[in-house]
Amino acid sequence: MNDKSVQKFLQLSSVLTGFSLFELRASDCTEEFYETTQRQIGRENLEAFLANFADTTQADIDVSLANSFLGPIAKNIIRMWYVGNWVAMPDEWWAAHSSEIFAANSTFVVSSQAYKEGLVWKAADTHPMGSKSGGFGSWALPPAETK
Amino acid sequence: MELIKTIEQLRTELQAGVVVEHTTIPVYLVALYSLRGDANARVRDVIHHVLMEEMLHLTLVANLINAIGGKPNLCQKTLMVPFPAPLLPGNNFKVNLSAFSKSTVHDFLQIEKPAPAADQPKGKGRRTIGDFYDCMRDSLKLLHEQHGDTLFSAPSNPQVTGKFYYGPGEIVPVTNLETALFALKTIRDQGEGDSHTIWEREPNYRFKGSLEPAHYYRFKQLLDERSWRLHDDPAKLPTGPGVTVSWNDVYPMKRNPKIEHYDGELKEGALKFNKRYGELLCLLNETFNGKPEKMGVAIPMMSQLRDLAIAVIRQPYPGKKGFNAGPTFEPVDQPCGCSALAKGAVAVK
Amino acid sequence: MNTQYDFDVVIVGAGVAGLIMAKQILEDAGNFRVLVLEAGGERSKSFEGHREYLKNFFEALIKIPNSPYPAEFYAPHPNELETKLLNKNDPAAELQYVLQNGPQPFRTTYTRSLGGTVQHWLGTCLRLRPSDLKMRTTYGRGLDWPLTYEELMPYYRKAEFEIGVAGDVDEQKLDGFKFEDGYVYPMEGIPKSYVDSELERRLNGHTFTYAGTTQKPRVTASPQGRNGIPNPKYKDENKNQYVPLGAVGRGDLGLRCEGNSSCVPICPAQAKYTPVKTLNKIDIPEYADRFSILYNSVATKLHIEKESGNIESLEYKKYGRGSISTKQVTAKVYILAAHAVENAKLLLNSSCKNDLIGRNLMDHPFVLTWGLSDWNAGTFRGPAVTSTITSLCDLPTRKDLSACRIEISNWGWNWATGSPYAEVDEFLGQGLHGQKLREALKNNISRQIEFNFLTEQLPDKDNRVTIDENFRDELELPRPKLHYQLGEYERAGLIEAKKVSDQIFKSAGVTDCTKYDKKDPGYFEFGQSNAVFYGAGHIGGTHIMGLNANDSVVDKDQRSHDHRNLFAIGSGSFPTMGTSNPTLTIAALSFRSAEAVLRQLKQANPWN
Repeated sequence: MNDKSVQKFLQLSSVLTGFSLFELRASDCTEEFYETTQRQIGRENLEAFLANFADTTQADIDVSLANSFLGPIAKNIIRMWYVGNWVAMPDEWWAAHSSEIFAANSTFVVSSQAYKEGLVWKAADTHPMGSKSGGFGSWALPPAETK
Repeated sequence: MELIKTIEQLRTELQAGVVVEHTTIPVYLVALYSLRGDANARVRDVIHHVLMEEMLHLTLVANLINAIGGKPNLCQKTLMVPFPAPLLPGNNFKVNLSAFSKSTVHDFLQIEKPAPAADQPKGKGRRTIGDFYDCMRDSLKLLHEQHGDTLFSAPSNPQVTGKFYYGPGEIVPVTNLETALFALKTIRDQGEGDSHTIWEREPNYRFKGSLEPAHYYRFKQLLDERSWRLHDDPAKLPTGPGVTVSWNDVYPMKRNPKIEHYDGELKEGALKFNKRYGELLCLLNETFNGKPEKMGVAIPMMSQLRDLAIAVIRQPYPGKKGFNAGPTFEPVDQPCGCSALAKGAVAVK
Repeated sequence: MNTQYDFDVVIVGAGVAGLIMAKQILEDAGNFRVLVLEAGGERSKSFEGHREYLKNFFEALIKIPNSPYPAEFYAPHPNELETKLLNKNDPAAELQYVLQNGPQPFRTTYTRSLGGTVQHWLGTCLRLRPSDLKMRTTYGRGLDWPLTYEELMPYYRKAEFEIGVAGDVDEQKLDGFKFEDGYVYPMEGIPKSYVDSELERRLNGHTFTYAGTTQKPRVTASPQGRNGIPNPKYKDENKNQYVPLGAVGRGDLGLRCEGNSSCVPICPAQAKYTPVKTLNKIDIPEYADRFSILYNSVATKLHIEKESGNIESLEYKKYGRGSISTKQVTAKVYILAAHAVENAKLLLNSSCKNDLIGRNLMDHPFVLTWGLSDWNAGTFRGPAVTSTITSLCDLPTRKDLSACRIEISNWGWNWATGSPYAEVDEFLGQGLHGQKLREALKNNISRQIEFNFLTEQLPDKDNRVTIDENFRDELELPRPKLHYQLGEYERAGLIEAKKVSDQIFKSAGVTDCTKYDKKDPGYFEFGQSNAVFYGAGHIGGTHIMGLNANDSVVDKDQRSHDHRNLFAIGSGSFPTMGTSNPTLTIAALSFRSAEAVLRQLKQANPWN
């Protein structure tokens, strides 16, 4: 695995998800997500995707998300960080960019860890269903923000 | 260890017990949080179980101090010390914050080292926690002979009971000699046991017959990667079914990490952890000094601390390639949150 | 000991009903021999199995109640997605275990493995109300039970001990339930969620109109089968305090609910009761020589003695890797505890004659409403439901439309939209990313309020389970076919209740976001209104209890009218459903029926 690419992937993930590098590292999913992305869309597509984000300004991201090649990849990476799922690429994307060596274009939960570390739970100031419990009676307390 | 002659001295010595029990908690917590993924599920269970029992011991000692008219001191200003930290006063053995490893488990074995059995001569070796509690037990008996039940001058001080605790073992409110000895025996048997037996001597009714090895022998199973059978010889190796330990599925945390090496968000995160941990201790100080119901607030705080610690332990250590950061448990310069009630707690000698 | 029979008692199904029955018989001084046949596997028996179930849940794309519990190839069970209405020629019929014959889908499932459906129960432990048992007399609707609340009271206490109920008796009394003087639940009530308390506070002083009446919203904490703080005032039959039962294989864990927020389908801590906790009390060396439990053993047929109508033997198939063997077992008494659909299937496959077998299939069909609060509700914390609004549970309007219990969701719109997944997709679809996405999700999810309106469904003979000879499962057993629909009474009740939602939302500062999809299999219309109904997982009817073979299948002891050494137990015996979750009543009935079974075993001639 190319360490530089992984770092790039992490930095880009931070911009895409709105979570800091510290927060993303706290998930310990970077390598697994990098590998999953590479397996699902192919190394060349991933490299092309990462190369496109040399300097990531907000405007770049907006343009990229609307791009028919980059957009579906970016959305899939965001979704993977937020809920732990890889979702099958859109048919048009698959038709245009896939090659035979790719894994099947499928939808799946990346792993137990990916599920448990889903950022959506952190975004909502709670914990994933079934893990990282708040402790007996924690649910009776006001949510963090209004304390 | 020499027997204690006055009630005042007993209170002070028992406070040393509070310190000892607390000192083990960051050590076990860090090892627990350093485990990566699901490969070490069994290891996680073992350490978690021991941790719960250490908290039980802390509670029992605090109850005992309360019963004899003392005030246990759990204030962060008292308990938070830099690591490595001495386990027992007057002993050179220091404990470290380190990731789970063979050498860490060796440290655990040192912490939980069993005392020689009662019928064996006391060697000149180092003092064990078991020795300490034996001394407390004998002193308590002696003082009770001298003072009778007036020894337990404050049996109605509110204590933490099973209502607020739910882990292995049983919390008894300490009100007389019988309950005091029961509390000390629980600590002794769960923790170190003695060199005659592997097992906690009195299985709690909650285990429904499943006998647990004392801490020392529980950790030894990890090192030997094999579990104990009922009639195994404690001096030899366990002969039961294998125990899966994946020594590599661990975050390589640098030993005794220091916040001065951190920067940016890592520093913020580690500092937040230390502050919260300090707040928890002060909250527990109140809990153990007349306000047991505060345990209800302390428990959700423990969950928050878990998440903060894990976030920190998953970060790279600045300037140390190949190592991870970790929670430092260093004392924090913040006003202590103890109420006036808890502030009168005894000083540590 | 009579060795003429293989066992004294054979029980089909290792769920809550069957295992409580087994426990009561084994604990009797009569030294009776008990066999339990479980169609599914035994994974839930070990800590490792529990971990495997958890992993299944984490790694399931769609986290439905059966997601942790895979069906056995030879003992299939339905899942919540199998709601397609099928006719004979539909190729999909081969893929769906239960044949949905309509006109509406039956949206409720069950689980065939050790622990049964109660593995993924929510844990709500409400008793049935006295009036729930006298619907015909009180409201001229449905049927009367052959049992009164007073007759059930002592058995409810046993059930509350066995399950380990945490609750507040005083609050239940205010809600209209009667208890013996001085009675408390084994454990103190589970704390109400922040959502509950805030709603209660905000609704205080408000009223709403319902079917022409004015009502106050009454937010009542639910008694729950999950470990909390033992109540020091509680004394069991031996005058002991209650000691919570911990996790399987790790008794020191699970002594309190930790707030994992996944009770349905699985409590990671095992603080929630499952029947495996009852099994642990009997799967002990003392009973080893007279208690057996066989897994992967599907009861297939009861053999009936022609003259007496008594059961002579039970046929079952034991399956393993690549092998299926057919076996027979004999006993003095046979007990079917395989849950409503499977009990009916077995009775029908055994050519039992009573025409009411399989009929009166019921559930608590429910409708969801959802909205966004103008305050931070701190959602997705705690058990799925900790309180319900009980104002509509027992009003005189029950003569016209179905009663309704309103559960307050602690998990936002999880059941309505699939939150938080749906929201992530929605905001991604809008092109949000980065900080904006994060904030949008925070802002939405933490303000999600959802109500579940569970309604009482009346017994209707045309709602029924039959078996279809033409569609067989992998053991060549005919598969169950369901005929099901909501009547006017239930539709009216659901729609009227939905109007209450609008009023409560308004009073509590919640903006309604409810939208029903016409294409949803549970979509229905009533008058000018429409809604989507779901199944609550509370299957009732199929062998209802009553006075004689003309009005029912079993008597008040859950004994078959036609076959005197046969019992069919569980919610299949319920003549009506009330609005309370059924498990506590299932457990209470098992305790009660066990006494009847024991009486029968002790008779000189146990078949009369």
